[in-house]
Amino acid sequence: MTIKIEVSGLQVQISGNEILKGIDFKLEGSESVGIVGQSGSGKTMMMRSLIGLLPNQAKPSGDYRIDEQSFSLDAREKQWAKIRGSAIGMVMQDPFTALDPLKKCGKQILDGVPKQKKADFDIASALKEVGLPADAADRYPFELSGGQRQRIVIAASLATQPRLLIADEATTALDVITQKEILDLIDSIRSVRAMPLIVITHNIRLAKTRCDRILVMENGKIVEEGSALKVTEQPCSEAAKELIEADRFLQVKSFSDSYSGGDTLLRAVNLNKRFGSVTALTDVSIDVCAGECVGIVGQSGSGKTTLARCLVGLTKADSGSVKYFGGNRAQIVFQDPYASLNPAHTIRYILESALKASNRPLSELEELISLAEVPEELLDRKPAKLSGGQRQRVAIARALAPRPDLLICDESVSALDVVVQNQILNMLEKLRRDRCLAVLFITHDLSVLRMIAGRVYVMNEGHVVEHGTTRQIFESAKNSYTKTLIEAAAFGSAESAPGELVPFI
Amino acid sequence: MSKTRFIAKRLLECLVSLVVMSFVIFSLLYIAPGDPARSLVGAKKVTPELLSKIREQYHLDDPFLTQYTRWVHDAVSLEFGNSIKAGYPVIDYIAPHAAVTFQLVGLSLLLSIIIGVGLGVVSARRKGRLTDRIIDISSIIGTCSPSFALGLVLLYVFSYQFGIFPMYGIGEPGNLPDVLWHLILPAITLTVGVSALLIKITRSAMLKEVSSDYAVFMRARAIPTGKIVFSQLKNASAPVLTSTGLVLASLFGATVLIENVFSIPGLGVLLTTSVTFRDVPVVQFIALMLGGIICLTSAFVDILVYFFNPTIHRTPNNDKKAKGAS
Repeated sequence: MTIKIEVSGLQVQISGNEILKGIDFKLEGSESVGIVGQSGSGKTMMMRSLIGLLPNQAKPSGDYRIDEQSFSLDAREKQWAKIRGSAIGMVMQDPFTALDPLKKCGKQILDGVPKQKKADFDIASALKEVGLPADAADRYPFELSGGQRQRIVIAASLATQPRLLIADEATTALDVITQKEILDLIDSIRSVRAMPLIVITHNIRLAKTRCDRILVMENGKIVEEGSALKVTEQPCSEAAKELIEADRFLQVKSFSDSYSGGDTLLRAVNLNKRFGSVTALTDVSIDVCAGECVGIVGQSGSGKTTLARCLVGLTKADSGSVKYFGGNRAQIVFQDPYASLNPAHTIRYILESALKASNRPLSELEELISLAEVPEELLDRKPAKLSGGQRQRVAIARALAPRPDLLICDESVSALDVVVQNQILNMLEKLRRDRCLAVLFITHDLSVLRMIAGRVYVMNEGHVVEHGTTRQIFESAKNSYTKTLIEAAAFGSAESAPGELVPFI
Repeated sequence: MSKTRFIAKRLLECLVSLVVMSFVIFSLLYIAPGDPARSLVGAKKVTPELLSKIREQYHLDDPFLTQYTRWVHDAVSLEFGNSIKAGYPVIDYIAPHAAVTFQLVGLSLLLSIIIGVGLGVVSARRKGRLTDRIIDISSIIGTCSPSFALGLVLLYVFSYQFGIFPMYGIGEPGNLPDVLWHLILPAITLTVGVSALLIKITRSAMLKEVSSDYAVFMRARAIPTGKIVFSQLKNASAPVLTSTGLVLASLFGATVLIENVFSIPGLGVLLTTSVTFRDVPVVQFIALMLGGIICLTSAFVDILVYFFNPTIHRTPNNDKKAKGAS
């Protein structure tokens, strides 16, 4: 059952660019290895070259041995089939796109089962292993939540009987509570099956709690390697130090003091919204004052996005009122920087048309990009050439064009890695202080709010269950849901108990 | 929306378009220049008595709407009157011609789907490579070449030079293999013109699926390529199915020319002669029938697309929930 993997001198080139610059990596026994690094450091490419899923243009080279047998890195699709599934299984990053939307989950799990074992494969027990009831087999992916879908993805990976599991940012797309559940599940499966695990993540705190050994990657090279404890406690590489520094929960000891008590800027009273039989908002009331940063936190499905959309009029509330005081109103920055910019236009065109639309002189372009810290040389590029963080800066610059009093950020940093997240958060904090810009920050991640928000509203199932200053929320939360959120966000620093099976949610 | 409500709604839309269409088709008779009574006289000597007799016989003096409702009433009871040229019921007159055209259009629809979807899939999977370029260029050439000219070229090469296919006609009636053999060249000619559309649409719909996460995940689990392509095709099917409906419509349009080139006695040839002859009942019937077929096909395709996608027809509130949730 055990597996032995050895790569040496692994290089990957894509159209002349060296993505991986000579990597040596060894895995034996049932250890769990964390590969950490910022986005673009090459960690996903490294994992994908082990399983032959590099992009078409990529040219890998190097020595790859699996169970003492040499394997060609540029093998054909048919030969890779021997390694994929049976030797190495993979859990994809985004459970919302990893499953075929038109196929029932049970069928998808069954598809990967090796032919000779198909006859006596028991779907119900496969689902039970990942903490799902048997009737999940009969559901389509869209009928399940993100966490449940990720369980299906895990079950589908395990169905191929792999001897090594690779989890590529497997929880990044999930909210904190679900993240913890999925990680616990992977831990328990690993210990039951005595299976080695590779965790790829930008979250060094996660790697610390879940892995025996950590490799730190930067610019296509492994810059540091050692036991989880050593790398996190005594990092020697800059890359490792940066990742640790970016991890707010380990660092931030103080709370943001952004509660200004200024004039009320926005008052929403008793908002209600239903979609068919689903209630999204129930009597939600919030206030935002000039120049303060207010956080709204809750799990997926808690109604926070609906609230944001109601506040800017993208969705009409069934009842209740939204009132703005003062001249310039709110602008919104969305979650996905990849989808919110028109790929056909240059950054200059995008920002200039935002200025035109708000009757501002084009000469303000320079000011905009300096506010949002968009490097000037990006202006004549199109969004596809920009990194996620750069795109989000452009989206913020665009939102600033009409000089709003309030910026609504809907999960605006969730898709970015921690280091970039920090940069964006610092920029928002600076805007708030220097320009007296109020920020309404919507997120599932309490630790982000701890850093920038002065007040916090906690939402659950369409209700505001608790609100107060950030300090009150963190130090003396009364509501049990708030406590769960804080606990889940802190799983790295507090002692967590992996190994127990999480019930079906 | 429940399944039955969706189907009922779609069929109702179909009915409404049929009614509007029937009205337009019926009006054509009056919009077209010339006196219908005169053309009904045919070759006989025109006298005022004869004209008024014909007017009375065909209720031509009634108000327009009365005539229309009478016509619709007859049409519903499948009574379309006699062909002016042949002198016997329209349906009997048209049936043999219709059979030929349906076979021809059916054959080229089948070819178009096989070629269009097949090459579209290959093209998407080989994006940017030589195969993709070749398919792209040849489909553009196919769309650009005029079908009558292409038909003549094919006739010259394959029937005249090599003698593989017959020159004209539809072969021995009732002998299906022989008929199909005769219809292959015209069907290919028709296909070349329309399959570029299907290739393009399949390619662009498939491109999204080829690079999708679920396809990568399927590859990661060593699922056979054929199965992956099938899943991708199913996900890409909505635009492909919809445009197949459009292809059917344009095939019926294109067949008029092709039947003339290959001397096939189908609806196209019948339509042109009937128009020249002002054989109004025949023209009306053919127009109504083709319109009806196209209406029904597009309704059928929409219903098919609806059933292919469980996110629409399972648990009605789920799509809204997904949008509303954060």
